[in-house]
Amino acid sequence: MKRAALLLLVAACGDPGQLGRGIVTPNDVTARVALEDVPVTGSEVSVVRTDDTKVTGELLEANEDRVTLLKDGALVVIRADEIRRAIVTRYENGGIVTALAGWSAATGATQLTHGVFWLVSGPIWGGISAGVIAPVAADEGRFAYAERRSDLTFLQEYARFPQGLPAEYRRR
Amino acid sequence: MRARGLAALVLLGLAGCSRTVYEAHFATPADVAKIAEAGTRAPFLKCHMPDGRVFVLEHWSIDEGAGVVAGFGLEYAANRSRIGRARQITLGLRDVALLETNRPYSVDVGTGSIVGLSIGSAASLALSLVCAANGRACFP
Repeated sequence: MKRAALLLLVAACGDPGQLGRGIVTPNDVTARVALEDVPVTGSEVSVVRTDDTKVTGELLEANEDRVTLLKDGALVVIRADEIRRAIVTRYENGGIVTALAGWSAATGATQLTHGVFWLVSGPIWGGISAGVIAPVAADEGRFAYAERRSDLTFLQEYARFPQGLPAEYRRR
Repeated sequence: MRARGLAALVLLGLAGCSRTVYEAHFATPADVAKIAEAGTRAPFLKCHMPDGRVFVLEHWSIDEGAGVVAGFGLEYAANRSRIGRARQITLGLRDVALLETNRPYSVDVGTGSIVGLSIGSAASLALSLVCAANGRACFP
């Protein structure tokens, strides 16, 4: 039952983001970003191996043979044939979920002033809060998935070194 | 005045509900034409060097005839520590390993949620005010 509810929620929250950074939609609005805020590191990527172990780190390089991550200052090289799936985090939403939950809790606390009407306003507020926070928390659009070996070429677009690992890193 | 403050707060909240994602197109220096169209709408150009350094340029231009790419920007080492200050930079296309155009765009993450919570909070606040004004109605 719980799994069915979760699947329903995920289905209601849309599809994962497209893999590949060249894809644009007509609704995209160019944002103003300062030069120094342009990111120069790779995206956070989680790689699920065929033995179901998972490693998460900054993507340094991806090609049809391997994926290289930087995790806690160390390089982790995973061969392509060991990879079941790679998950790219396109953007984070943890801060927004926390802020919404805080807002919900604060308003909920003030409802103690409703007296007997809290019996009605409390459950309504609970429903509103769950209804607006759950879709943000379950937003699948913040992820993109690489599930085929050929997808690793697209994954390369999220790497710190899309040109390939420099010699200094290959030696490590 | 209070309404303006509240509106400003909601607007701030809405602004905080978007996340920036970067459209990117890649080309080797030998194939610059590949990014010509995307380059017209990309405010930033990254020049990835073979040794891992990257230059992030704005107000950039590529002169294929002269074999140079120029712009105002920043230089980062392979470990991504910044090297020096922002400055005018000119690079030989032959020295660049890969060119990457970057166009930042906003992805809406929770605007609908902010609106929903705002409406609910306003209704809740209104009931709180009613109870404060007429305590017996709420606490018999």
